[in-house]
Amino acid sequence: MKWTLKYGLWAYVSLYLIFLYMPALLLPIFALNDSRIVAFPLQGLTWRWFALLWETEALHDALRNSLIIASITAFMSTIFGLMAARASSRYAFPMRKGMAALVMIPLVLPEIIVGVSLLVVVMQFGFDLSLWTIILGHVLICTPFCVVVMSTAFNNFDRSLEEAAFDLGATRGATFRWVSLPLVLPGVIASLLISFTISLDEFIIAFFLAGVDVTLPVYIWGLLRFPARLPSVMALGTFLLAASLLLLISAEVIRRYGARRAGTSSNGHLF
Amino acid sequence: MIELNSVTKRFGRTVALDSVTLTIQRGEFFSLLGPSGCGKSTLLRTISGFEHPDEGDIYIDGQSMEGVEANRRPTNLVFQNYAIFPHMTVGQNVGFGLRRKGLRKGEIKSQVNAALEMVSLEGLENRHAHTLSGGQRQRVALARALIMRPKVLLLDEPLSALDKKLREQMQFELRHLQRAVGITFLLVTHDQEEALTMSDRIAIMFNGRIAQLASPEEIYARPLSKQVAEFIGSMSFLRAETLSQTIDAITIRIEGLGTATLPRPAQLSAAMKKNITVGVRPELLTILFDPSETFEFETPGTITGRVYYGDMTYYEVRLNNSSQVVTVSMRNTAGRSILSEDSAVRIGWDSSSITLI
Repeated sequence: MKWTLKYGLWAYVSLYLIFLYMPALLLPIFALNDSRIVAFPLQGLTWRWFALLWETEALHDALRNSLIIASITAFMSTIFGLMAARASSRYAFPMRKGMAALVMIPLVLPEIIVGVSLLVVVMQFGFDLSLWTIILGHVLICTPFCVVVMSTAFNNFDRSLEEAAFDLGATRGATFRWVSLPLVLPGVIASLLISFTISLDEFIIAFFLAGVDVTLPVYIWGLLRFPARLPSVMALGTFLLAASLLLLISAEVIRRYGARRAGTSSNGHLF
Repeated sequence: MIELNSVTKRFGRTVALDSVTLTIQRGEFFSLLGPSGCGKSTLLRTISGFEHPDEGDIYIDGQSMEGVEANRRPTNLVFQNYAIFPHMTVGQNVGFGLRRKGLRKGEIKSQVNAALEMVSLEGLENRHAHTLSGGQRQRVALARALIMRPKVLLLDEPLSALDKKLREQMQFELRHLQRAVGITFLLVTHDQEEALTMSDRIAIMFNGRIAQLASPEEIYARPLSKQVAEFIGSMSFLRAETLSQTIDAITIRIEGLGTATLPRPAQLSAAMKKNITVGVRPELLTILFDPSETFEFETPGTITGRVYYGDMTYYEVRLNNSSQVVTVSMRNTAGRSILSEDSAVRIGWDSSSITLI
């Protein structure tokens, strides 16, 4: 009985991990496969799909657009998240709970509804679709995540630290700069990375709100209509996989450093 | 130095401070003592500027504190949990206030070193805050506040996070420190021992009001109310009856103990009621071991319980001919045996052992 349970659990965990990570492992395999058809058996090793990526101008534009959008989105939604989290964790004001709920609603709204309604609004006001309209949509959906991350950061540190700084003659600005900000910095970095990642791979809103400049996911979606381009999508996917792994590892390293510096235990993990 | 005129503070319907009027002298070690929720911490936060009174005024060194925020007041606060900035070194913590004032680096460094020396932490300025022990954190908090040379240093339960040994040592050190720097200290505590050992004067607070304000000796010897007497030290309360009274003396019969004539305390100007309660401190009663000892009064009793403390033994003694019980503390001197329960004893006492309240 006991060993069946034990091996049963092992089997379950193994299957779970295979299901979770096999598709991602297929990306580099087919990216290096010397065939236009994405299927087994493998035909041999090649770098030409990566070379193709290097030569495709449209891809570079899409990547640049995505990075611009993700960076500005991460910056703006983290600022909004920081302000909302600080207000709700430090001050009592009327409708505090209601306000917090309103900020969180985009988290559960279907993106397609957000996308369509934003498109209607943008059209009504007569704005042209551009990178900025995509940023608008992305900030809307990223801010709730940033609020959650920043609220945790603010609730985790003792309010008397801010009072101590203020009591020692610091202005409100200096208190924030020298005490609050350094202590929530790991949260700020986590918030930046999370919103950057969300924005980078968001498709629906970007699809609705994109003008002539498309983002990387929208570009990849466009490629799927040409089966011959599929291996280069695999190569692109491999590239993105490596980049996000690097990003996550560096985020964790920074977070652990921050936690050690703040003297708190590093038990909680961001991702 | 600090003057409070009818300071009232409400939180919703609860009245945290109920028209508190108080004057604290320059250079004084003053304690606010009371159970949790009595308003003592609110009073401290009101003086430091983190809370604002609903009514009344606060003056520090003759200046009204109305509209003056915590960062502009001549007070500094040592927080209960010390609030050491965890991302800074000891030196950065202590120098924080001076850095905000814009002092030069060299000046800050020498002042930080002097402040650390004052609290016996010299050489630790590069240690990270999270590597410090509880006692060291407290010293850092003290140095960080004292380096600002406040007119008043406010201390919020500064010893409550320390273990017993360290707490007793710090009581001496705080007192020495206060004498050395000559700054007015205002301490908030729920621990009567802390207040008694360190303070020049104590204000006892209950329910947002000051119940008694006097020196430790005065409060211990002449508590104004049963509530104060219960809070400070230990005291047995006994039923008694007023037999006769004049302007300066009162004769009472204490049930099971005997009849005594006491001088009338200054605060009891009105006529005494017939049925009253008197208090008696354990150390003012004696169990008679030696027939040669003489006391004004001797009363028979039976030991019903005892607690051994090493240097002292506390006996619970039921008075013969009464259900009343008194606590008697005896020093465990050489050759004196510890009495067992159910022993018949004689209690010696004087009229000065009895406190009218």
